[in-house]
Amino acid sequence: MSATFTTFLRTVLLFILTVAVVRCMGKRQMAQLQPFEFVITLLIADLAASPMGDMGASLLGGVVPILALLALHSAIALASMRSQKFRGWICGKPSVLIRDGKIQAAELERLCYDLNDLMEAVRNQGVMNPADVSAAILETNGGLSVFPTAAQRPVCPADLQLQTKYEGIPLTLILDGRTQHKNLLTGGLSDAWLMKQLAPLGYTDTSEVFLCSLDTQGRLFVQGAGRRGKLHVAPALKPEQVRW
Amino acid sequence: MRQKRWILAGVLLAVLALGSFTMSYAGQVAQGMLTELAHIQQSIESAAWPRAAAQAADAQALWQRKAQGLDLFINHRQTEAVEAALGGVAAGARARDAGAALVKLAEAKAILEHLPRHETPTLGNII
Repeated sequence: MSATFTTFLRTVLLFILTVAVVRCMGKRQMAQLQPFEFVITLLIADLAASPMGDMGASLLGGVVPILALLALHSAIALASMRSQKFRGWICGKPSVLIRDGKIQAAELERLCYDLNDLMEAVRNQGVMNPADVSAAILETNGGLSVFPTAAQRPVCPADLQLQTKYEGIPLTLILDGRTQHKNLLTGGLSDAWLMKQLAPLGYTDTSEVFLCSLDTQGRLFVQGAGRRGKLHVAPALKPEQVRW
Repeated sequence: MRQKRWILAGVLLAVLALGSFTMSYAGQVAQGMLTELAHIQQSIESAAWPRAAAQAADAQALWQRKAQGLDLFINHRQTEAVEAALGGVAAGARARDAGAALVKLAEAKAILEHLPRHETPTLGNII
């Protein structure tokens, strides 16, 4: 087999391994990574790339270090869940940068966090003036959480003592023409029930539907397949019949 | 949490099994080849050239079979270097050039002796 095919197959194998390892590490995105996860991600990328291009290197020479990093990640994650102290050492601790509108200058200096960066991060969170911030916390993943003072916070139903209806996750019943049987079961519904709802809207088969979902108010949202697929909203269940 | 435990246990077990296998396999292969080379060396030193040439050709064929397995976990350049050295030994034996054959033989022996040492998790290798 020529080196071209070998390189291609090696790349495919290493890509599959890298994706599997990153999936095993969890669902967090780059910006949400803890410092040790960031380091592991950088190392994995480099380790996977090296045997891809270097035909002289053995494949296992690239695979074993990646697996070792996965094991290390699992060990650190387990230890972090068991011990707060360990978590503190590995991930660091959140730091309060603004408390009751007052910027904590000493903390900024300790973290070498620039005042301009702080102002920018506060503005990014929709707050113009640091005096309107009740607390700004620099999280261990590097993100800044900003909590405006009670007077500056948007009004929510609880402030007005309003009763809200139950609002759960809508069930997707048809996705690109394919019935989602697991979701039908979750809602205690059947294919026959679904077709009965679709028939008055002019659909005779699920393949004619691009997307169909059922919300927790019992409303059925149906979008037909094709470029000119129409959107229908129809009551399908009473809110008290909703079972998920 | 349970998934992380399984991953940790699985990877550690796999590395333990693979590491032990590679150590023992590299050791066995190197030892087998070194024995073959010792026979070739005797033939060269006693100027038994037809026997030396035949033994060198056998050693080359044996190494080609063994290298396929070794290539999975050691640097391919090492297996290629042994292959090249064995080629030199065979050429030297055919040309009845004891000096050239013995130099290549020593080269192959040095790489083969290094193989199991390279696979062993000694402090020197780790740091």
